[in-house]
Amino acid sequence: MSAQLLKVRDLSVEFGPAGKSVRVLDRVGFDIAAGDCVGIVGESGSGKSVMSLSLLRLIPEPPGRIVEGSVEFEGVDLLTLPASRLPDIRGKDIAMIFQEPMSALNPVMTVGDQISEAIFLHEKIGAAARRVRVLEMLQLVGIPDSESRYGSYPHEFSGGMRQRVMIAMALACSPKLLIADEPTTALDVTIQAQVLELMKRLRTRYRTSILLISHDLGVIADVADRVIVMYCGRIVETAAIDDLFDRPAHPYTEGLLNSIPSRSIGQDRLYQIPGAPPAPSERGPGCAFHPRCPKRMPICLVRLPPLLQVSETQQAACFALPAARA
Amino acid sequence: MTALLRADGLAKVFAARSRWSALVGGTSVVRAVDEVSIELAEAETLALVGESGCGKSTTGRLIMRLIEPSAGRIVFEGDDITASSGAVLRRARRRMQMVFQDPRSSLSPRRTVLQTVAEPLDANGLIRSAAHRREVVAQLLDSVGLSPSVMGRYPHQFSGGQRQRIGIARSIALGPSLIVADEPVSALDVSVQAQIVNLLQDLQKERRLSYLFISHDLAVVRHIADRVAVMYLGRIVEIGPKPDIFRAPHHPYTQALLSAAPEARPLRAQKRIVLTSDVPSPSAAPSGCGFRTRCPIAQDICARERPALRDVAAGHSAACHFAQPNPLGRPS
Repeated sequence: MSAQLLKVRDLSVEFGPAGKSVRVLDRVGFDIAAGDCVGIVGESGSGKSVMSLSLLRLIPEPPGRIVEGSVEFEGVDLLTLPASRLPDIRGKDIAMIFQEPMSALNPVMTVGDQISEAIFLHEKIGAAARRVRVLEMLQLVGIPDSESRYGSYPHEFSGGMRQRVMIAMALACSPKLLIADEPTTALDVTIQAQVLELMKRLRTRYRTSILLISHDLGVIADVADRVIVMYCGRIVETAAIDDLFDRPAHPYTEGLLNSIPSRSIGQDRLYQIPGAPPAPSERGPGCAFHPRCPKRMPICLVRLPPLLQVSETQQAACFALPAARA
Repeated sequence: MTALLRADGLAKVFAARSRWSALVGGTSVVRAVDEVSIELAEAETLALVGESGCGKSTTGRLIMRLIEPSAGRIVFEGDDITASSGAVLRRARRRMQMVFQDPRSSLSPRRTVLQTVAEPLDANGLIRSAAHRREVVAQLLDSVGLSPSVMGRYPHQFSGGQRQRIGIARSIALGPSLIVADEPVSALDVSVQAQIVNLLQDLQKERRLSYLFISHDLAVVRHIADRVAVMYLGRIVEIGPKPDIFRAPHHPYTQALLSAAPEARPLRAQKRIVLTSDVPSPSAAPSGCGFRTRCPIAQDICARERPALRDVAAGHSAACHFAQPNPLGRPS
């Protein structure tokens, strides 16, 4: 069980023409074991979506370019795999769901046929058997009346229902890894609660590994066991979920946690991180967070802090950590 | 004390007429807002919360008279503005302003910060000279935490948080008493969101502003509001002082809504109430209580009789036949 399903090493992505390109993802590395749920949190521009897309080589090239690194899935490097073999993995072993289900679904095809097509592409089973599987999937994700809903079009569904259709499609071939990029961001909170419950249920039932990408720490805390915090294209901290909330090690994580309104109940003002993240072209050689950091030191401007072990389950990239002085 | 703003029995009915319904000869009617009554005192923040389609933004726009109410009355600073026009309405509008969710689409990309912020001043003939214009705009920018040196720049040169500051500077330019803020921080990252929430609170203290704060984000509401009104299918289902609403919600929808918001501090022990199904379409609203189709404690009476808003504590009322503190059971 402890075998790693996904091993990402030094993944770097640049955008723009050669010579003038900017690096939006810088040497990102992490592992996901079978049955794990890992959350990735970061603000806009932190590189979290570019990261999730480049795992399956889905970033548009050009202008994007994966410049280094490896993405090993069950021992096979997806980045060096011939492009012709990728469709066998996408949607079969690794499935993905996106933020806006309306733009990810085909508007002129019934939802039943769309899910059926996803199965057809990967498994050689007959139409009748596929239909049975589709109805099962629709029931699994909690779409009532699945028989009559099979023939409905995406526009006849509400936002929450469309996201369920996306999840049904993603799960139709029993993937080993589900990449969910902001799956609930476009949904209302009572519908978000339904989708999160569904993801948790799937995980316990099918032991699907989940990579959950969100800007919302509350959503991550709800589903994930481990969190990766990204800032300006780099991992700044990774920790078990409880450690992250109880003992954030990186000043950015600390600031992020403190600026959540529910953590300052009874206080007059919210904690605020000054300034805004720098644009990729404005990042200097040092730590990208230093202009906003309360613990800034001279070294932070010129050198990049490496990820250091804080405890057995926690790593952070900061020169102000006691481990950095050892 | 007289209220700064009083809305009584506001309603907005849209006739949803599509090309198809013209052929089949029918129009469906959507009651987007119905029987909404609110009061707002000076320097007070009333939050309107609810999910998409509940009518909270429509309510905000009705109060601004950006859309015409189908029924009801709006009294602002002592004047009935429900049907006023011309000079009376123009005068009221100087005193009520709006801040929008997405500053990218609410700021003109072809206007400089100076032009954008000075626009309401120009439109009301309050500018004496070019130098005066720059001076006033510089002061406004300063009060929202922007350097006056950015006056010549265009919106695309700013980050989301800075753009929202520009929108706020424009909204306070005429010295309003009421600001209707429609999801003002929803498009912002959490670290920037805190900056804008703090700014809104600072401005409220300095200028004694009243906010009608429209939001789906309960964590922000819990921080900024004095009172909270919860809307569902176009109606207020519960309204009361913030501490009462969060500590002892009396409507099952309020309780479910509060419990559904994921906590950023993992409280694994807390039981979440997950509502089944979706919000019904406002064009086919259920009989009786609008929430009954999703309500875990609905009875026969809920389909027959629409529950009226009734007082459950001082200044706190709920529209439920079975209103009681935490009607779906105590959170464990």
